Amino acid sequence: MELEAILFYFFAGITAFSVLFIAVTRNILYAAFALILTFIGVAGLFVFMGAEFIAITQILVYVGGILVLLVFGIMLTHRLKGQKLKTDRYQMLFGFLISAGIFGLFIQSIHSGAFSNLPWVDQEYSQEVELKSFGLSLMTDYVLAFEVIGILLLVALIGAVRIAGNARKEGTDAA
Amino acid sequence: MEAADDMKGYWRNIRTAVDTLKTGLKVTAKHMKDARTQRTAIVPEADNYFEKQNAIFTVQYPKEKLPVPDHGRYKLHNEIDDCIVCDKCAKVCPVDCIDIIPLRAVEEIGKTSDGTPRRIYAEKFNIDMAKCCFCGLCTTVCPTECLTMTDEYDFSAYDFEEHNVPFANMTPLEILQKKKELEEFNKQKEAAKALKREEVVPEEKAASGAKPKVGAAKPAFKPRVPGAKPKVVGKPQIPAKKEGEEPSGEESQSKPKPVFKPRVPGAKPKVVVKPEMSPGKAAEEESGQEPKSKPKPVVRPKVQPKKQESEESNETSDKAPRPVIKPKVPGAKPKVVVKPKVPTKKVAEEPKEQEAKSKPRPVMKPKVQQKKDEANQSESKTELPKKAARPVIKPKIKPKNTDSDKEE
Amino acid sequence: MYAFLFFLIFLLIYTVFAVYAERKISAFIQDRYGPMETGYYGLLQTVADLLKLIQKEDIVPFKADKKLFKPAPVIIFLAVFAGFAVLPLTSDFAGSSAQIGIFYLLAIVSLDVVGILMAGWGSNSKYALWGAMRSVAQIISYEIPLGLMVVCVVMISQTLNLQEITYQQSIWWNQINPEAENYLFGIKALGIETTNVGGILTWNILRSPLMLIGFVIFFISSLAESNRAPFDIPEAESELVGGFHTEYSGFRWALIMLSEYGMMLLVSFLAVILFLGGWNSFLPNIGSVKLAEWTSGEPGTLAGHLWGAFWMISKALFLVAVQMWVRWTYPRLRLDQLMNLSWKYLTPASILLVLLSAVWRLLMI
Ligand code: SF4
Ligand code: SF4
Repeated sequence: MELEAILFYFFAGITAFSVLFIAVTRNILYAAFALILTFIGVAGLFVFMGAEFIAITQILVYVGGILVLLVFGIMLTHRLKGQKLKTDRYQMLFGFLISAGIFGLFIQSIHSGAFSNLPWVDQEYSQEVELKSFGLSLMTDYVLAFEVIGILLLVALIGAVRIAGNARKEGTDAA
Repeated sequence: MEAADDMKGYWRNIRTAVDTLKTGLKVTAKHMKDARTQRTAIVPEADNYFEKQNAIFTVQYPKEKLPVPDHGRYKLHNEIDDCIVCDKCAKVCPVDCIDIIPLRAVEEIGKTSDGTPRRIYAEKFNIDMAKCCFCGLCTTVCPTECLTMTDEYDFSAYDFEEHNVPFANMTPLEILQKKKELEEFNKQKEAAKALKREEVVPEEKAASGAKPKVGAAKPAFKPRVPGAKPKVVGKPQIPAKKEGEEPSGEESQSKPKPVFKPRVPGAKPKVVVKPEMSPGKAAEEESGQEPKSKPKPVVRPKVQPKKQESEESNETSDKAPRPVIKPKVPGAKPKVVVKPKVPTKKVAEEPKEQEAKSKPRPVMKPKVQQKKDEANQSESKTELPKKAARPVIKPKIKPKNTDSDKEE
Repeated sequence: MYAFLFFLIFLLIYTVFAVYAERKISAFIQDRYGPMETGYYGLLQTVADLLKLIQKEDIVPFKADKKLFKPAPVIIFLAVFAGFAVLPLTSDFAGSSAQIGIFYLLAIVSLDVVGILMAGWGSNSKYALWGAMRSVAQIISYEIPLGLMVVCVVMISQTLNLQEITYQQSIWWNQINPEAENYLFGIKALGIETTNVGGILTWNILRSPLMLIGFVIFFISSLAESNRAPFDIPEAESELVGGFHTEYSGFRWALIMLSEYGMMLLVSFLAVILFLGGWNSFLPNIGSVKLAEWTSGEPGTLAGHLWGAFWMISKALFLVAVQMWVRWTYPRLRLDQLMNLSWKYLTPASILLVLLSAVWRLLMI
C-alpha cells in the first residue's frame, strides 16, 4: 500500500473508532472529546477527496468552535456542581436493531448505486481546489442560500445577546 | 443624550488607552536602554538620591559588594586577650546568646591592652550569631572594649552550629590544668577560712552558698559566681553608711558617661564590705565596676541608710533617663533585692520623708508611689503592681532591709 | 520533511533562548541583571533548567483523570507545531504550500484550545479548571478580531496561500505573476508603481495603510491567543497558581512551556507574513541603488534562501521580543476588561476594517 492509502485507512479508522467510542462510553466528557476526534478524522477524509476547504472549515467550525463550547458547557454545568458525568443506556435492543438496519440499508444502496460508475466520479479532479470558483459560485449561484444563512446567524446572534444580556437594563419585560 | 455620552466615553477610553500604553512602553524601553550601565551606590542623604531611577542596581553579590561602614554592626568579634571575663556582655544580652564559662585564675594572668588586670580565664566564650539580634548592647557594656562589632556580614554556614562562634582559646588540657590549680588554691583558702571563721562568725552564713567565695577580705574578686545570677545584687548593698557617700559621688559623675569601660580601679575599695547577703560577694566586684556602666543603675534604690538614701535616690532619679536597667534580677537571685526601678524625680524626694518615718521601709523601692505614698508604705507594694506600666519595682526586698538594718 | 525537521529543531533552540531572552528583558526592565552565572552572561541558564526539568519526576495527581491529563500537553504542542507546517520560511522553502494555508493555520491553532481544556479538566484541580475556562473563553473571543484581520489581508491579497501573500509583498512578484503591479499605498490612481521598488513600501501595512491599524489589532489578539500578558489571566500566577498547567511537572510541563513559546513564535511569523512582508527585506530599491535586490536573493538561489530566512526569522524574533517587552510593561487585565476589549473595541473595529478593506481593494484595481 502506498502512503496515501495508509493515511486514508488511518483517518477512516479514527473516525470509525471514535464514533463507536461515543456510542459505548458513558462519560459525557469522553464522548465530547471523542467527537472532536471524529471530526478530525472526517476532515482528514475530506482532504483525500480534494476538499481541503471543507476539511479546514470542519475543523475550524466544529472543533474550534462548537465542540469547545460543548465541552465548556459540560464543564460549567457539571464539575463545578460536583455532579457525576454519566449517562445511562436505554433501549439497547431497539437501538441496536435500528442502527444495524440503517447500516445495512446504506451498504445496500451504496452497492446498488454503483457510485464508481457515475460519470462525474472518474473525471480527474484537480488536487487543488479552485478556491476562486468556489467563492464565485457562492456569491452568484448560491447567493440566496448564502444570504439566508447569514441572516439566520445574525438572528441567532441577536437572540443570544437578548437572552444573555443584562436584564436589569432592559426593563421589566426582560425578565 | 446618554448614548452620546457613552460614545464620548468610548472614544475617550480608546485615547486614554493608547496614551497610557505608549507611556508605559516608553518607560520600560528607557529602563531597558539604561540597563547597560550599573547604578552607583548612593546614600539616601545624597541630593540626587531620587533622580537616578534607572540602570541596574543589583550587585552580583559574591563577586561584587556594596561598601559597608567600617564600624558596621554585623558579626561580633571578641579579642579574647583583652577580655576580663566579667560576664557583663552575657548579662546584658537580651537574647542570651553569649555563653561564658569563667575559670578563675589563682593570680593575675596579665593585663589587657588598656591596662586592666585579667584574673579570670574564659573556659568557654561562645557567641551564637544565629540568636544574636545585633543590638550591640554587649559591645557597649564591655569594660575593656574587647567585644566589638565588625563589618563582616556574610557568615552564612551550612551547619547551624557553625554560627555558634567560639572565642575562647584555651585547650582542654589547659583548662584541666587551671582547674586543678584553682582547686588547690581553694583548698588552701578553705583552710585559711576555717581559721578565720572562728573569728568572724556572722559573715559566714552569707558567704556559705558560693563556693569560691573568697574570704571577705578581698571581696574584690569574688565576682562571678558561676551562676551569673548575681547580677544586680551588688550595688545596693554597698551603701554601708560610711562608704556609701563615696559611691554616690562617683556615680553621679559617672552617669553622664556611663558608658565607658575603663573601670576605675579605685572603685574596688568600696566594695569591700558588708557582704550582708550571700550574693553579696558576687555583687561586690561588679559594684566596683558599676559606676561606669550605666546598665547597672539598677540597684541604687536599696540604700538603707537614711540619709544616704536620699542622696542616692536623687542620683538614681537622675539616671532615670538611662533606664537601661535590665530587670534581670529575676527571682532566681537569692535575695536579690530590688530592682532599681527608680525613677521619677519626685520619688527621690519622697523617699526621704518616708525614711523619716520608717527606716525599714525605705528599702522598698520608692519607686512608684508618686504623690502621697508616704502614708502607706506598707501598701506600697501592693500598689506597685497596679502601675504595671512601670514594671520597675521588684518588691523582693525585704531581706535586705533586715540586713541593712542590722548593719546600721 | 526538511521543513518539519527545521522547524522542530528551530523551535527547540528558539524556546531555550526565548526563555533566556524573556528573563533578560524582564530583568533589564526591572533594573536587574537576570541570570548571570551559567555560561557567559548566563546564556546556558535555560539549558541547565531544561536538563533539570527533563530529569524531574512526572507527577500525575492521584485524583486526576489520567486519560485526559497525560495526552493534553502533547495535544497542545501538536496543535501549535502543526501550525508551522504551512509557514513559508523563504521564497522557496515551506512545509506545505497548501492553497488554504492561512485558513488551515487558524483552524489548527484553535485545536490548541482542546488541549488546554483537557489539561484543565483532567487535572481535577480548581485552579487548573478555572485557568482552562478562562483560557478558552479568552482564546475564542480573541479569535474573532484575529480572524477578521486575517480576512482583511486576504481581501487585499486575494489569496489564502501564505507563500503567495508573501510574494505579493516582494520585488519578485512578477516572477510568479507577470502582470501583477503594486502601487504606493495600493492606490492605483496615484500612479506610482512600486512593484520593483519593493522593500517596506510593498509590505501589506503600506500596500493598504489601513493594515497599520489591522496590524495593531492583530498583534493585540495574538497576545491573547498565546496567553501572554497582559492577557495571561489563564495562568495568572497571583490568583491561579499556574492556571491550566498547575498540576503539571517535569517533561509535560516543559512541553506546555514549549507550546507557549511556540505559539508566540507562530503568531509572530503569521504577523510577519501577513503584514510585515514575510521574507522580504525592508530596504526598497531607490533608483539605481538596488537596496532591496542586494539584501534579498533571487527565489530558488542559495542567496534567496539565506536572505529570506534571515529576514523572516529576525522579523519574527523582533515581534517576539516586542511581546516580551509588552508583557513586562503592562499589568494583567481583569476578565471583564478582557472581554470588553475584545467585544466592544477590537471586534467592532475589525468589522469596520473589513468593510474599509473591501473598499480599498477596489482602489487597488
Ligand atoms: S549584639 Fe545584642 S544580641 Fe548580640 S550578643 Fe550582643 S547583646 Fe547579645
Ligand atoms: S563584657 Fe567584655 S570583658 Fe566582659 S566578658 Fe564580655 S567581652 Fe569580656
